[in-house]
Amino acid sequence: MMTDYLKKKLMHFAKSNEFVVLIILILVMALFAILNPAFLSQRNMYDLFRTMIVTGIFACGVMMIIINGGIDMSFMVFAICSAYITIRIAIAFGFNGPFILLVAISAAIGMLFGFLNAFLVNKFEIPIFIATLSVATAIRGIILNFVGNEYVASSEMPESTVAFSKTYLFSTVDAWGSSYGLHFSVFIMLGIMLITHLILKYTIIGRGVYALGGDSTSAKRIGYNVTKIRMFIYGYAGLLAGIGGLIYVSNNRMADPMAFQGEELTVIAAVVLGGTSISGGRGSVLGIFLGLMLTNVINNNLALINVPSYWQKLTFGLLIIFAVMIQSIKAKRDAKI
Amino acid sequence: MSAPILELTGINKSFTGHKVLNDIDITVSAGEILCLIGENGCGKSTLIKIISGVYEADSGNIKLNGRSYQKLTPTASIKEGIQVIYQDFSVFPNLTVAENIALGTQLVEGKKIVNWKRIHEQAAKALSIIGVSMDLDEEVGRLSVAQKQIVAISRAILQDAKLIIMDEPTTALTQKEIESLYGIIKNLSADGVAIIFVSHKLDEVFQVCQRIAVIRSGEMIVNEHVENFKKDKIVYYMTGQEIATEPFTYEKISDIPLLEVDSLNMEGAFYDISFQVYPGEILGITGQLGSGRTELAKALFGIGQITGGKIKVRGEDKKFKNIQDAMACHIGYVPEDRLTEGLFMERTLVDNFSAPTIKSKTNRFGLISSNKMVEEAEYRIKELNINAKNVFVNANTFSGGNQQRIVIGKWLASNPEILILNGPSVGVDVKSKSEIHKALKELAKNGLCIILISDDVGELMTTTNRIIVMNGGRMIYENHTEKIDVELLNAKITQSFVEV
Amino acid sequence: MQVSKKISSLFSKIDGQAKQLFFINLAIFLIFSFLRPTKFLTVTNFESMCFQFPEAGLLTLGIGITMLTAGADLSIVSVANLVATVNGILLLNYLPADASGFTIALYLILCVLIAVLIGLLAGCLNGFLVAKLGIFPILATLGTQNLYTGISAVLTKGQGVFGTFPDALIFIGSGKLFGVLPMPLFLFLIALGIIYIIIHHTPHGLKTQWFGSNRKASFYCGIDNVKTVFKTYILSSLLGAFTGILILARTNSAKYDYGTTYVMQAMLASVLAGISPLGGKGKILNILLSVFAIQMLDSGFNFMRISSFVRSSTYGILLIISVMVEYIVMKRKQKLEIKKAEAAGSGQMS
Repeated sequence: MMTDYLKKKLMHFAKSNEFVVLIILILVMALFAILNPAFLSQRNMYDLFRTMIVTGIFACGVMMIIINGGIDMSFMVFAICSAYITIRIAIAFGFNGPFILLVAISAAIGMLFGFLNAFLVNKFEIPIFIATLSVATAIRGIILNFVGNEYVASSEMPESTVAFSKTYLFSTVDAWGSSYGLHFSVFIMLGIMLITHLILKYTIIGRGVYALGGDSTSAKRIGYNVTKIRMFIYGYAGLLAGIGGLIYVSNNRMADPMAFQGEELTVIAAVVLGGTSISGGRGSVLGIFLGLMLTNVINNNLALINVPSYWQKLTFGLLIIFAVMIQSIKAKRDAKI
Repeated sequence: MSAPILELTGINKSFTGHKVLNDIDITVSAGEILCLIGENGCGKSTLIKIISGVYEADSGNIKLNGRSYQKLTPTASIKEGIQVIYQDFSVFPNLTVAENIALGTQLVEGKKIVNWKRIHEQAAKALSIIGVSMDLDEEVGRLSVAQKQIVAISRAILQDAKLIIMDEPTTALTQKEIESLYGIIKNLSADGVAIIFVSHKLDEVFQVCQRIAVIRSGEMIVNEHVENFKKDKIVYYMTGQEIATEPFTYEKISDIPLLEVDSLNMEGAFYDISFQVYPGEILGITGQLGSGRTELAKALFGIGQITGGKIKVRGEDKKFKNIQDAMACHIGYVPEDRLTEGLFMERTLVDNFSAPTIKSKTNRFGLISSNKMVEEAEYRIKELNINAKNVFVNANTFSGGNQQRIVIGKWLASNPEILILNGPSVGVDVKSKSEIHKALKELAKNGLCIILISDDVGELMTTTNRIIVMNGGRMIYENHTEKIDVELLNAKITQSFVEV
Repeated sequence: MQVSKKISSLFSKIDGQAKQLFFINLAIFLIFSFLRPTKFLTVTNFESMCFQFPEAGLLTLGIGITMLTAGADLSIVSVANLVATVNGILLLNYLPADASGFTIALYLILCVLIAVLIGLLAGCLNGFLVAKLGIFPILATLGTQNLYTGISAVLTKGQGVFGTFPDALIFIGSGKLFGVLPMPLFLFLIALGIIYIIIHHTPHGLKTQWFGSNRKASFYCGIDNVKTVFKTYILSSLLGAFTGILILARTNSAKYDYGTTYVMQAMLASVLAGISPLGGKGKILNILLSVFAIQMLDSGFNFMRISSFVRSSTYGILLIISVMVEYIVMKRKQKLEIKKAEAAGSGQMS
């Protein structure tokens, strides 16, 4: 009985996009490991996870938007702007309090930004790409002009952020005496991923995200409030952007409002690679985790296999093209059944 | 007499100046099985959407379970126990069977957390009531049409409905599944659930309904107990005409068939189709939804993959890889859905009339000659009596009848020898309908071959000289129209779905 | 009498959007002339604008025609940069320093051929992904954007291309035809004319607009939708490719990440010109007015020392406003048409 259930679950998984990504990930990692065994070192693995932290948090929000048929171009701007505003406020008030409060403020600001997106999409039916792109550029300009465009140096960063940046779980010292470790924020990322997964899988509004992405007319007919679902999606994405942004500036011990330019694609690529479909209302947290691992493995380790960093964009472009091609071929094949 | 679940009085609804429902009164009590009958485009769908809160009536009163509603929302309607199974099933292709069936229940109950165990239990329960078993975790997008319909019906049954509206529910079910559905409906009725059963199939109506309401062109023509009806009377009410009108007389023009179809097969759609059409003929092809008639019509226009058999135009074997190949043989096709398939709604008549023939509207430099396009448009609106001030207005400013004539006109511009029309008078007012029929008869007299796909028995009887009935992908009947009477035709059409 | 009648009928035939744009241009012109009369309202300024805006104009043409098909070619700037890079490398590394006029001309022709080749290849890839595989255009072109940028980056090892280029090339970017007409403007006007004729006066152009309006109806008319979209993306990439030559000629350099703000500017200019991102509508000639308006805006901001971030921020706000306005206007028009139809009753409309 139990094995029947497991077998069925495995068979369903094998048909999914996530399975394809997993296979590709394993192959790529194997390839890198063969070309340079240092790839599999503990330090490198810790590093891999470190680069996934902030993008992993963003990806959870972006995924929901892509499931609903559009591409979000605003999350990075929201992230850095929420964080920057929070830090500036903190400094202005001589804030010495707990880190978590800063995160909460940044999250709240991000969420408000997200509601702006929701408003435009709901009220004026503006295509998501245009709405988010314009809002992002508008906000960045406004913040830079009215809040300031100087970066906050590490000496000025609030005490709690600096303390946070030094919080490691699992610290080790290597042969040369320098220490490295797995930063605590990796667990925040994993936690957020878990929470996102739980929301999507076990809450009515979470299922509504998929329902709306699958067929918006039917969603309305069975009683879903489309406006509310959209506000949730964009608000949540903004909230996560705020959290991710604050963690980023803390870990980097610097708040530069001009950061994150043009890097949206990294996250979008990871989400799409991970099987999130823009036209089918499909996507999962597991998928984006795998997709992120794949993109980061490739991006971070080009140097390890003696590929210069300026190959990054090229490999990136090929990755995305490859990902969307596979998705499209798979979708066509599924439709023929 | 139990309290009425649904009470509509004086319902009116118009879309862009076109009146779709006119002063409709309807009452349904607990346990009643009411059949709502009418041709396509008569207003049934709009009425259903008003009852379920998706559309708002322009005027009139809606009472659900004794409570009056000024503005009815889908949620309120569902809460009052109204469940609709739409023709497109409203399923989510990206969610599982279990979820499609049972998610709505928890949503309407106001739950915040999904109870997956309950979803699976409820889904299984609903399916067992119908007597079907399905993989609860399969993605609905991968299911067949019949399976999707079962999911939709299960969903409605689950939600403790007081009134279930089923819109043509048996179109793709097997005989066994249909019998089973009738059983469920009768059980539900005994339990006090009211059913509105929308159907075309007159046999079905008599098997399952207690009362019949006929709608024609937005008006409630008759609303009576089934005992007071005879089948041919229903047809009269639906079409508003005694079928004693002059049938179309075919005058032989040539001995060579323009179009010949020989053992044509399309895997999964139709099998072993053979017939000939001669110039001057209007051939009617009919059958229920799912009989393969639309796929056949499209195949003759180059859409879809033929898996066997031959198509011959003027005696020559032709293979249609795409629409252009069919057009090269002077075949034109007026599609089923003029709004989404037939017209560029936001473009002018000039554009619409010349779209299929745009290549010939160029001057000697290869550039578009707007004169030629304008001339074409002006000619066609005269030819087809389209009510237009000028040709520079957009297609979406016209009523259904005029719009249909625009679609026909653009194909006439291609000088077709064979014209296939799929449901050309659906949702078209009576006057436009008769004008379209007149135009078709004219064209046939001038030597065209016309193939008319239609559900409309009246239309078939008065406009064609031969009729083919399809069922389950096969031709089950073919005869000259003058030799057919309406009852026989209806019987053939509504014959039980033949499993392939 | 007849003349004024003709003029007024011509005037009413002019597209409403064009009239709006004319007033927008006038407004911007007046505002900045008032704010910075000595700097803005000069011949030198306007002349320099005429050297600058054609670049954005060409890119807007490319993105604009893809927007007609309810898509967007985000890769057009990177195609331009790629062409600029390849041609830059060709001219700097392979053209002998003492080459004769004839050799230079030959090399320049080679540059054009390379541009055409790259444009075709890029357009084919984009077309294949979007038209043949049916991939969401923004996703597909986001991917190819990185690919083309990546190739430029690899070719230059992450650096740019700088150097002294032959006079003939520099003339294309900075010279004046007959001593009056800036070359870039001349080239842009030619491109504008060609695209205008293609979109509004050829079968392909009409098919492009119809595809954007209703691709299903287009299919049922026997129109090859795949070919239509394919050709559109090829045309767009070709425009991008020629922009690459212009960029090289004007800036005497090529960098893989040049002009990243152009995409948004081009989208804004397209929407302002009346091209809907949902496809099916728009008048090509309006692009001239909308691009010029944005250029004046940019120039004015420049003289007011407004930072580039605030500038792109304004474009963002303008884009939102223009899409919002378009939506409101459309809804109002729909309501009016319904009222008209209802007032006329079933008489006029049946």
